[in-house]
Amino acid sequence: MRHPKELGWVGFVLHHLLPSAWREELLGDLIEELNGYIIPSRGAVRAKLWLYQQGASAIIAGLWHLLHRGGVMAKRRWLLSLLIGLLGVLQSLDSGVHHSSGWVLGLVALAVFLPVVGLLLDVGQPLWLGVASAVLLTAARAISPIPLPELHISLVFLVGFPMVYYVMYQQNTAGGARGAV
Amino acid sequence: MSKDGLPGAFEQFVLLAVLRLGEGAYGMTVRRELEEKTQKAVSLGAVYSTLERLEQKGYVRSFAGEGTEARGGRAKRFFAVEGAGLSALKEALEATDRLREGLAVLAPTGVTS
Repeated sequence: MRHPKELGWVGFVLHHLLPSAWREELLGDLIEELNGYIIPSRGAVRAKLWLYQQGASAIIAGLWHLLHRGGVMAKRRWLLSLLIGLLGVLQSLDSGVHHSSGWVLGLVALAVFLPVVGLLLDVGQPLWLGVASAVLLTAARAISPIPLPELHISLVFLVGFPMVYYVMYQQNTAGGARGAV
Repeated sequence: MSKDGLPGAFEQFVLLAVLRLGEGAYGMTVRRELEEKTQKAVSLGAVYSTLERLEQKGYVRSFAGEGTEARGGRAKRFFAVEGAGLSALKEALEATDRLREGLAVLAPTGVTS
């Protein structure tokens, strides 16, 4: 089912981040309670605050669920995302990005953040996330006031590791051993 | 004692809410019942993750209802307490009662001893 338009951008975020095990039911409950009880009793503004609060706590509960209930593959995915995040940060620091401007630092942080979060939330699409990271790193190198020749080495971790993981994951899924949620 | 140990405090609250609601127990009603009776803010995410944990322990079972227009066509997921859940809940409440026994400081409001 598509993301619920009744909940605005919160619905879009929840639709993509909640565990599939209870995504549809929770979204249905939110729509029903928001329109049937919260808006009539609290008004539109406070209802929006209620929705943001419910959305944020649902995402936290969902992440907790993925970590603890996702099986062996999910735990490997969390460990791997921590590892690539760490290696990405270390390689970026090693290439001297911290001596560059704030904009460059922001672009590099986003380039590391995207594949890490993509893997953490099991978004899939490692190639496209990798392309996005490569574009961000290239932009960072282009605008950097100091040369950052070794910056792209971090793509080995940011793109390579998730792609290897998903190849292994698909093999497991094909063998009927899907452990992730 | 049940093999998964005694249910935690929030698990006990959720089991009690599901019992109180009977056939009308689904995410939203459980959340509202908890909020009304505990007078504390309760999130739907916490309710769902707890219900799923209880289902994995065999304390509750769930079944799908029909989608309605008020829910954007999304189905409800109803919950019911299983025998194992009832036993675990009784065990936990009895343990609480035994621990509470004789403690004047925790006597229910309006009762003096």
